[in-house]
Amino acid sequence: MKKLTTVILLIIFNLSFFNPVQAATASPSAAQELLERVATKVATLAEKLKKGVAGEITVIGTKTISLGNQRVLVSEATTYYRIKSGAKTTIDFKNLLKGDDVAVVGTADSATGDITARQIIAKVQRLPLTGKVTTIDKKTGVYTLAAGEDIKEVEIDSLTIIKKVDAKGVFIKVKLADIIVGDNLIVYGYYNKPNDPLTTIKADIISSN
Amino acid sequence: MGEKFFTAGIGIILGVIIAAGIFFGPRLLAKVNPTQDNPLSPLASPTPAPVSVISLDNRPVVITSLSDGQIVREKTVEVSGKTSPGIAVTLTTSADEQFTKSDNDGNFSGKLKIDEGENTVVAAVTDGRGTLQIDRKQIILEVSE
Repeated sequence: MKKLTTVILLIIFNLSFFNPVQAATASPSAAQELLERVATKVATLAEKLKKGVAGEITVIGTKTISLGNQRVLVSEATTYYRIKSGAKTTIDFKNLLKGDDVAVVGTADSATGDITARQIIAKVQRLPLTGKVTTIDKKTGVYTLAAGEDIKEVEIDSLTIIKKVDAKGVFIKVKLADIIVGDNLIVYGYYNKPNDPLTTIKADIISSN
Repeated sequence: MGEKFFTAGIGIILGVIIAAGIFFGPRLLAKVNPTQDNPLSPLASPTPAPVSVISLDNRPVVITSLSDGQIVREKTVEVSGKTSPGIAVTLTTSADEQFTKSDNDGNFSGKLKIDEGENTVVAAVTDGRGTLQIDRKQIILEVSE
């Protein structure tokens, strides 16, 4: 019994000899390292779950909106903005309307696909259209753009910002009359009504005949 | 007396072995399998990271620096991608436009201003037949609170 006690005591003595070294060096740094790894992982996961989606509000519920098939949940933490003519105002959930173009910043639920919104930004979406000018109706200001089989009508007027690349490779403002049949255009605009031509706010001439 | 020394010797040896096992064991195991020591490491992921392959035959121009639905916080965004070598590339948003050329490897890049909310970034090139070929990415600039 005495021998066994001696052996156990000596084992404990040896362990205590090693442990202070471990405790003094490895443990705090290991714990710190683990904390950093957990923080990094949490940040990575949050980044992965972070999701943005944009589109037209098709359904407004009590605490949800739908952009087509995408359901968006709102919470007390959600902030709402409306941007009109470059001016941003803070709004409330009740100010959102069916048909509003919105961009949603939030986190996605990987199981349901729903997005919990952190920000909802209502702004008329500026759609890009590209193609070659095939016809110009100077009376109505309607230009026909062809991109393969796809034909689109866009309305370009004196209020549209029109730019073209100069010899130095810099975009400079040009006049409406500078757009000719055969030009490739990239235009940004919005639809007043679904079947109307795109109201163009900006047109970039990419190449000419 | 000899018996006591013998017992003490055995105790010291056993103690050293056990203590060394406790102290060095995890380190040795970590060297054998590094991911076991670091369960949070990306290497531990069961699914390998996707490798993006760009086929210029099917897609004349591709924006690689942005993805659809990407949320950004800066009012200027870096746009880079791939196309044919040495050709003119136009980069546009509703707020900005830039003309650039691809390098010998077909890489291009530029910086564009964007607006708060939804933005569509377009990269356009003109093919040999004079037809515009584009790639576009829809991104969102978060409102700074």
